[in-house]
Amino acid sequence: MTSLFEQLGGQEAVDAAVDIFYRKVLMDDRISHFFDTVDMDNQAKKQKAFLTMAFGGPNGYTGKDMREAHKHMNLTEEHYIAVVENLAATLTELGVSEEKIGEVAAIADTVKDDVLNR
Amino acid sequence: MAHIYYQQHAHESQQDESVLDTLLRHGHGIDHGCRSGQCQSCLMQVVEGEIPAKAQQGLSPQQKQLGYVLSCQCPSDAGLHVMPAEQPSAHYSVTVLGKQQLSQQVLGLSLSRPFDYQAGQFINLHANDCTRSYSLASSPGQHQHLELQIKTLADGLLSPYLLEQLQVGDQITVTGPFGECSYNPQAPEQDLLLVGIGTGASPLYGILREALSQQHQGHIDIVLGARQQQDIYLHDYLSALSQQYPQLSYHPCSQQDGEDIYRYVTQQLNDLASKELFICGADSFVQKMRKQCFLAGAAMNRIHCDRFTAAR
Repeated sequence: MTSLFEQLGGQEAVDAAVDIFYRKVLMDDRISHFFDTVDMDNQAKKQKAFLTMAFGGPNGYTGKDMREAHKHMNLTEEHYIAVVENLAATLTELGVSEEKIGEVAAIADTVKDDVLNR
Repeated sequence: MAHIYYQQHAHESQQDESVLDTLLRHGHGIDHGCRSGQCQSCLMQVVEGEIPAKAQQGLSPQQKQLGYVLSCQCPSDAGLHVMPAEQPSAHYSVTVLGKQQLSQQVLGLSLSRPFDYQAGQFINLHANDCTRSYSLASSPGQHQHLELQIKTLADGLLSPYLLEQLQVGDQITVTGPFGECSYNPQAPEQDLLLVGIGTGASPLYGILREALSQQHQGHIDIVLGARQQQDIYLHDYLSALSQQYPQLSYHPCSQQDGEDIYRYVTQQLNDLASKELFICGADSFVQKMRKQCFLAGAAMNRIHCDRFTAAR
């Protein structure tokens, strides 16, 4: 049985997804303001790490990192939903099946409470 | 309170202080320049301690692996043990071959060439007790000398010295070359888009002339923005080049004529996704242009930037 990460296309799929996903995030009025002053190089690396994690790939993500990185941002359910919607739309654009998109969303959900500092 | 360990001494750091500032405050003569993470003069090596990502921004993978940090960008509260970078960049003494006033604000400087480099890279000049970074406008394949285009600032530390005191025939110290915003000769079919303001034109001119001297096949757009057209000091040179080379389009964007360089680049030029982009000039301009180009479809890893930051 191949892993979800392999089924999605591995690191190449992450590379293909990262620009599309980051572009959607930057154009989404619900969350774009969080990225106004951040360095794009650093942010692109973080987006890539996040996608690798959500795709079920090898990553160094821990709940503690996620909590620490987001705790001063006062994020709400709406912000979280915006990110997941952009993630799903990115995968749809890349021709990923709904079933697999559901699996990716389920992985993202495992860090939801950390991101929202709950 | 954190400590920075250097040359067998522990130095107490203050809040919000960089490693560079802690060491300078304790009397160490650490070479430094821009204090904004660009010039790499203050490079140090971390012997022990966790390196903050911020301290390695813009360094090469090899430098990162060796634990090099930009001490001006490295927060001192991390409590690191540092030492001088093991291989300090070599200092070269070069000869001033020529000086030319390119416009009221821009000084052209020709220097003898001590090293090989890639078009678009920058060097540091060390003179008058300070260090400043300048991009190379020359093409390594075409020119035997280094060419700099320097914006002269009346209240600057180095540029008034270069303008008024430095003479043809004098020696001046340089280090380099640095930077990754450079022309790749391996992809001659690639369409290029060169965008800049002010002396951001300098590295773009280097990239352009190198590309043309290498018989670049892909289309090259060069777009320069300014308040008014006469501020574009390379206008005549670029107009002439675009007559000479069919693959080159030059477009000046003058605010006074109602042109908006951001709108021009993102709306008038086709298919940013297929181009290799080079964006050079003032930091705020580069950041904004980069974001807009990315949103308009340019690929993140094909946008190369040279951000000019004011030395502090």
